[in-house]
Amino acid sequence: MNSKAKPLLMASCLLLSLLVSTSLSAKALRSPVQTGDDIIVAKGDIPTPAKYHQAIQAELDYASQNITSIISLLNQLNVALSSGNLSQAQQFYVQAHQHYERVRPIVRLFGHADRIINSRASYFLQGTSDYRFKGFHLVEYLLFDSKNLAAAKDAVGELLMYCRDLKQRLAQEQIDIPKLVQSSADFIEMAIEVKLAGKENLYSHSDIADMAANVQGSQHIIEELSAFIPQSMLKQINRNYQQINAIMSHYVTANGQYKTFEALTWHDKKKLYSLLSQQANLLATLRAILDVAVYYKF
Amino acid sequence: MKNTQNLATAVVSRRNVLKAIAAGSAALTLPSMAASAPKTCHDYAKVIKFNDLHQAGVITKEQKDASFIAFDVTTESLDELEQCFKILTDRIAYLTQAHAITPNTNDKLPPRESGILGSYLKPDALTITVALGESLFDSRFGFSAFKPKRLVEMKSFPNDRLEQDWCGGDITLQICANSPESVIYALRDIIRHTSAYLIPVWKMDGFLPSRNIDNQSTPINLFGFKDGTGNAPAESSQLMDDIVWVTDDDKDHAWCVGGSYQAIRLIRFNLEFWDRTPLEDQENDFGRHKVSGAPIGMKHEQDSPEFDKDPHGDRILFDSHIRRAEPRNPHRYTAELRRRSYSYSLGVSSTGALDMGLIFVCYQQNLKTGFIDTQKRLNGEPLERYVKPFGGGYYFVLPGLDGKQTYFGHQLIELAKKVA
Ligand code: HEM
Repeated sequence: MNSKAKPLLMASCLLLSLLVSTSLSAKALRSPVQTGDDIIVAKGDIPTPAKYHQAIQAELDYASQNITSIISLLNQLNVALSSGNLSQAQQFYVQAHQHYERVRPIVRLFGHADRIINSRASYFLQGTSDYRFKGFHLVEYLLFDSKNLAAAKDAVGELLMYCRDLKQRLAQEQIDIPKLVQSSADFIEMAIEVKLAGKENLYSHSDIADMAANVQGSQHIIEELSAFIPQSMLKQINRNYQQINAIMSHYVTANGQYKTFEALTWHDKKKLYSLLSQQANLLATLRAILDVAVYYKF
Repeated sequence: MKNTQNLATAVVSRRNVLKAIAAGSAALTLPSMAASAPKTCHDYAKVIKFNDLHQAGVITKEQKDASFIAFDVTTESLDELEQCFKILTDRIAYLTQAHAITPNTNDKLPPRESGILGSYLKPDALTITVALGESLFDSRFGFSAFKPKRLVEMKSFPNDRLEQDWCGGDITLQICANSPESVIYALRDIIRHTSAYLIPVWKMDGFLPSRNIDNQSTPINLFGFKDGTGNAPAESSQLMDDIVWVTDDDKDHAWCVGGSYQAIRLIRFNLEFWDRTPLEDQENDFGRHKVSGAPIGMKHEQDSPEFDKDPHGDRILFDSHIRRAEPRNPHRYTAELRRRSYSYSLGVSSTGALDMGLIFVCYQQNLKTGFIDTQKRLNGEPLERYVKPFGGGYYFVLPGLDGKQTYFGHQLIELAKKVA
């Protein structure tokens, strides 16, 4: 190497190390680089600060109540099926699923429960004929599409079993605060991604009811957390819920249920898109606003 | 001095390479060939001014990649729409200029931008062109009295197979740059900042052959024909004022001056059928030779078709695309428009056909004497066997930011506010 090139090389090394060190300080690492023979004790998750315990318990209770409602509605559905009352059975399905959508992100925190209870036919290449197609949407399919009451009864029985399991599990589980905060936004994301397209309930067309349920679920978490959220932000969040609920209220029927998805006008759908997007944007900042610690920083 | 020396060594070493090849010394040849491979000439830092008398992207030389996206407005409030236009203008101003991207300091927040361009935003010749659809001039915002005089809803032509999901929209953006990632970066940024006001309703991505753009030759479309040869030259500002831009003496609304009418036509090609079509039919359908792009019977791409020396349509058929579209009678640019089309490529149809075609785009001062009359002359052309328009619409490209207005749509909003 000629002598002139050396200082140049050194200068560029210096530049490089500067760049690296600034990027290190800008963003903390997950863990220090582990070297040598020292035993490093795993730290696990950051414990949830005590101030959130009440909110978390409230959410767990809310989830448990909703699962209880699901079980009771599915039992009623069974009775309706036994007496051959299809339209009543259909009503019970819609209501039961609505309760599920009020707590679904919470269920998703527990392993693959949601996959078992709530797979849609579109999850599988073989669609409705896939053996894994069971749970809510198999019941929905059998009640609204093939109208096979005997098969529906079996499917409801299996679903009931899963729901009882889920309830037991809920009684033993805890939620960390980051997951609770994240769930408030997850509700909105699932409403935008699936319900706004009418793709949750392809046979019963009850996506408006489920969208309302998702929003209620999200709103419930925010109510539990409201003491920790700055007033100005809380106002904005609540204004969004209000505006969303105002649109949803156009679709409530005389018996307190929701109209089918086909009734959703383009006017309201596009408004919901904007409102839900705004809400999702806002809720996505909650972790930072509450300064919730999720990862150890080294 | 130094440069010439380098050049000299370069020449020598190239000669050495040649010698080495002649000597069959592969060991010597390969590394030296690799070393002399040309560096990329892609100028990512290229900036195209966004605030001028006219919007960029209308008569701007075509970039390689494009995305056409139509939105519906989700609010009914004029104030919110104004806010939306201001945000759009801000984003366009930001995106079309070079910036170091501000690092994210709080990692509990979502990152400010997508990150797909790395830590430095180079605009890559980005242009974003804002146009308003006919539907925006209904009663919602009090715009109906100010609707551009020639703006109408796109009606179906005889060969059209319009699909509702691919038609219309209150606002369109034409986003162009020299790489797909630059286009997508801008698109995601804009959607992120405007989702409170705008919902996307359709989007089509387009491309032009890099090799043609790099070599400054006419882009070749998916039929294998040079497309754009006879286009009105953007360099002639008089011609652009005559056929592209709305001008003072054009009897349109004053607020429209400096704008232009945009026609977008999404046109599906039957390429399997086309590839089974004899060359002479292909050439006669267009009226041009395939390889050279010259008018039939002529040598060079830019040669005149000399229609007056072919009074019976023996050489260039009366039915051919160019003779119907641009009969050059009574004068050149009978078709008072300027084209700016892109190719598109999606998936396959249920019958295994490629879903590919053209995003036909043209700009004109007057929709009727521009696109509509030209399309009427083309109705029934032999090319129709291979093409089916399925979407698009007519839109009005807002005037530029020449100082009189500070954001796109400013004048229109002010007019509506006065009435409201
Ligand atoms: C259907 C898909 C189309 C294809 C594949 C296509 C292709 C072409 C080609 C290859 C040329 C000759 C080269 C050139 O001058 O650019 C041309 C010319 C032209 N096309 Fe099209 N075009 C299409 C649709 C249209 C439409 C919808 C219009 C307007 C209504 C139009 C208007 C023109 C005009 C005005 C010319 C110029 C002819 C000249 O100046 O000699 N084209 N087109």
